[in-house]
Amino acid sequence: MKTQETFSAATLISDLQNKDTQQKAFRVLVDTFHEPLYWFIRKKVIQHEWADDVLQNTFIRAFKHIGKLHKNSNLKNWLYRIAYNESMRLLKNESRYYHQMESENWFEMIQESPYFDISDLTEEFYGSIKTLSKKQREVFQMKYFDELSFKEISNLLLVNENTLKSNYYAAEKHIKNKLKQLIHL
Amino acid sequence: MKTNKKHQKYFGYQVPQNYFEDGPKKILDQIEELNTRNTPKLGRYMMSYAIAASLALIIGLGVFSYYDNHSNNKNDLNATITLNAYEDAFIESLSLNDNELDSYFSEFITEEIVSKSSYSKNNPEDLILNSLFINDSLLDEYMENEIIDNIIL
Repeated sequence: MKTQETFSAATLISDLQNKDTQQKAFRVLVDTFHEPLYWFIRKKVIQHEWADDVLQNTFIRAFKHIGKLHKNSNLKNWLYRIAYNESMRLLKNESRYYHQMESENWFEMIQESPYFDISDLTEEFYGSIKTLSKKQREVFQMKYFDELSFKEISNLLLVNENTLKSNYYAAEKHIKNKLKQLIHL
Repeated sequence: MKTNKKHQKYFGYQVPQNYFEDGPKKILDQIEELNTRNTPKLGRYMMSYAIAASLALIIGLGVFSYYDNHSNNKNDLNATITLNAYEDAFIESLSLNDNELDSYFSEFITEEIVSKSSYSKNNPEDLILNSLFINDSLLDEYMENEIIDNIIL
């Protein structure tokens, strides 16, 4: 199965790099990764409009640099890396907003956006993940919500897999304890 | 639980209606636009070659023009030098070397001037006197050598 996936990715890369098949291959790529990448980005930049911008920039950058990608490279990892970097770039440019995100009243701030539906659970959840360290929060979100493997997260964040695992399990335990009254994760 | 549901449930994230249905098309349209906006590779290369050739031509003309002007100046300079050399040689030929002039003076002119002067200044009396002087000298010589010898002998 894994060999077949690798082969498919290699074929897709090959098609993406071929002028004749590029358009069709890129449609496959966007259809496959549009939604998961959106959620991945959304958790970084919070606001929908920015997530949408970052997502577009991610695909455009991928399109521009697809020729440089080695046929044996991990396409998914490469795309997530671009998305991560693009998100960081936006947050760096919008440093005022980034500092607000880190502040105490950031939850009130996001409630002003039309693309939020805040419930009791949401509020509790935000409260619980806010108490996690930045690294724990990042790993928990990537593992639980983006459903990335520890190996993929390790490649993305350039952190040892075992460190990631210990961070994730600590975060999961902490959130479960916080939310056990409301829902089971 | 689906990713979409999870994010909505825990984070409260909402997206515009049909966002995930229309989103890929919007991105693909942008990429298509980006692709058509870019000049085709062959055209881009040809344009690069044309620009490079134009630059090379402009630089070449500039260099040629510079050296052409430079060589014209050089020819003019050579011509001037040659003309000056001829003029110098001509002028030099008109003038005489000091040594040559001295020797010429000593050999011909001085003698001629002196002799002419002496001839012009010497009137007959001088000539007689001069002859007398010569005679006197001859007489003195005679007196010293002949007469004394005669007397003694």
